[in-house]
Amino acid sequence: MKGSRTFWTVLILLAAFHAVVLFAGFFAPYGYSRQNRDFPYAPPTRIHFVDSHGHFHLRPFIYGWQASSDSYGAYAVDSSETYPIHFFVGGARYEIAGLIPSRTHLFGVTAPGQISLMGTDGYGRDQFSRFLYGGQISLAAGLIAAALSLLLGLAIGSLAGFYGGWLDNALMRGGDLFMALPWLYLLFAVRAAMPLHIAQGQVFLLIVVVIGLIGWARPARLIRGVVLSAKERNFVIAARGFGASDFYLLRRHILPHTYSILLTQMTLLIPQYILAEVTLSFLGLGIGQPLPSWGSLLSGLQQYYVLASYWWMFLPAIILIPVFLGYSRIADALQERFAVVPL
Amino acid sequence: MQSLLEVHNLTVRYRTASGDAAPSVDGVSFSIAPGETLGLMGESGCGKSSIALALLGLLPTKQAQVTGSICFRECNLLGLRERELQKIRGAAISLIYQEPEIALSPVMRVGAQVAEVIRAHARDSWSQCRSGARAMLARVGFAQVDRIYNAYPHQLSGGQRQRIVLAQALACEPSLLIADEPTAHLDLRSQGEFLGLLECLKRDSGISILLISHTPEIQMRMSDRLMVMRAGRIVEHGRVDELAGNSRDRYTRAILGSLALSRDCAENEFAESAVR
Repeated sequence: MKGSRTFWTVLILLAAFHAVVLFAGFFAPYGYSRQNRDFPYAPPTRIHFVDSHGHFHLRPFIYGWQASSDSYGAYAVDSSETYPIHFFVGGARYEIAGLIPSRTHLFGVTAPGQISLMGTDGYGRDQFSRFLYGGQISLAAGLIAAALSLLLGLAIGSLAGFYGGWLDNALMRGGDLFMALPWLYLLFAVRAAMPLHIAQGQVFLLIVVVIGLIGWARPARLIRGVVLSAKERNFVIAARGFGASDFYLLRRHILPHTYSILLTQMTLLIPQYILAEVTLSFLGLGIGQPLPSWGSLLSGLQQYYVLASYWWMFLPAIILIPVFLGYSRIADALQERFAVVPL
Repeated sequence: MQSLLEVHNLTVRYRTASGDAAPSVDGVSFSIAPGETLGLMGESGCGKSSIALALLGLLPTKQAQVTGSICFRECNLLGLRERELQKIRGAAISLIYQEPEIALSPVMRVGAQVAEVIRAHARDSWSQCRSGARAMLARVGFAQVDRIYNAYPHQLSGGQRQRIVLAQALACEPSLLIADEPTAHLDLRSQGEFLGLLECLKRDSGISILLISHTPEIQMRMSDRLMVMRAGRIVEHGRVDELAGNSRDRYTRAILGSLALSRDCAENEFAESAVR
């Protein structure tokens, strides 16, 4: 029972995280491309309840920044200006889930104050907002690529397992080849074969398709195993005896037994593919500026001075760790859960 | 009388790694008339199930080599392609597979599994198939059709699952039913109920049955004619009452002779349990 409670807790937390990313426009105080050149590399804003006179405020507030005159990107807190945090404030226009236009944000401060919970980047853009918006791209890439991989794996694995013989051999040896491929270099090669300047949408599509096409081998192998054992089962032979066609047998009697594997593989593949997208964008092969993705948020770290001086630029990577741990926890729990179901 | 199924010189060989193997069915010939029940008995491994599978072309083509001729309504089934066979399986000839206990998919409702047989052969809509399946469930003796329709196999007893399989087999009103050890897993009571049901349905529809069973009692009760198989060959063939009296074959005598003995035992057991 205890394991089950952890499972649901993790699941709800992950779902909440995904919901926040999906409704990034609402939760983010600023647009992803809004620059504030006065405050490049500002550290995360501290939220206060007690002001410099020792008075307690029920409504939290932040102080303004004073750019230091002697060095670039160094700031001092200007405690003379306070900006109270307001909730459900109007601000930049965005679309809820890409459809319904809205202006309401969960929180915000009045200009010229800027609240940046995860600091700002070199253009003074709010990293927190960019993290949320970037999540839309990275999560979508992970999800779509994982779905693509699984569909391909399902089709190839079930064909190989059901028909066997030379088809099985050919498909599975092909799978071995794909497992042996160093996917990162393959991606480099594919990207290099494309023109340098292509639209962001095409880059996204390219990444998703390449990542998705490369990863089909492992799920295909697992599904082939299940299909192999399921097709010899009595009810499959019995259904054939009642006149069922091959396709019908596969669809109604064999593939339902692969659903548990599909679900488990999905939870394993999604973080893996998110990470693949992050890696690509980090290397500059993925989504480019000004669109954010988790990888491109981290790509600033390629410069040594960013790496050494601005610790908050690591924050996106640190936040991803519990998210991935959550995914693998769920994969574990699913595996345990399905292990007791006899096939 | 015109026969429904005419099997001539049926031989099944399984390919093995070493090459040639003794045929598991060796030159078997028999025929079944409409409305007749033909019993097939013999010890385990004598080729009974191979015959059942060969009749419907269900043996794996890579491993099994089937020769001879199987004429069903004057059409040789051995010459048919897979797609044509699919139209015959379940619609004209149905097979109740050995161990019907596990012949149902655990992840589908049993009613849907009956409906899908109708769906495979008729151009009916799903709702028509569903009502057809409900009618079929009622015919095999279920009172609460809706409850049974929506049940999963594990929620039913062995005897109930057996009747579901029978409903599947009879859903498209086939003219021949091949029942391969249909009652091997049932206790005596549900065995009796099942056979009674089969007799009843047979009277109603005039279906022919090829009944494979190594239990002499069942054969005596159900079959019109009986074939006894041993090591892939038919060693005895005749009307049940004739065979029981004077049989040429020692093996047949041995198994039919055990009948009287086992019947006495069974009656004794019943008597004892009644006393208790």
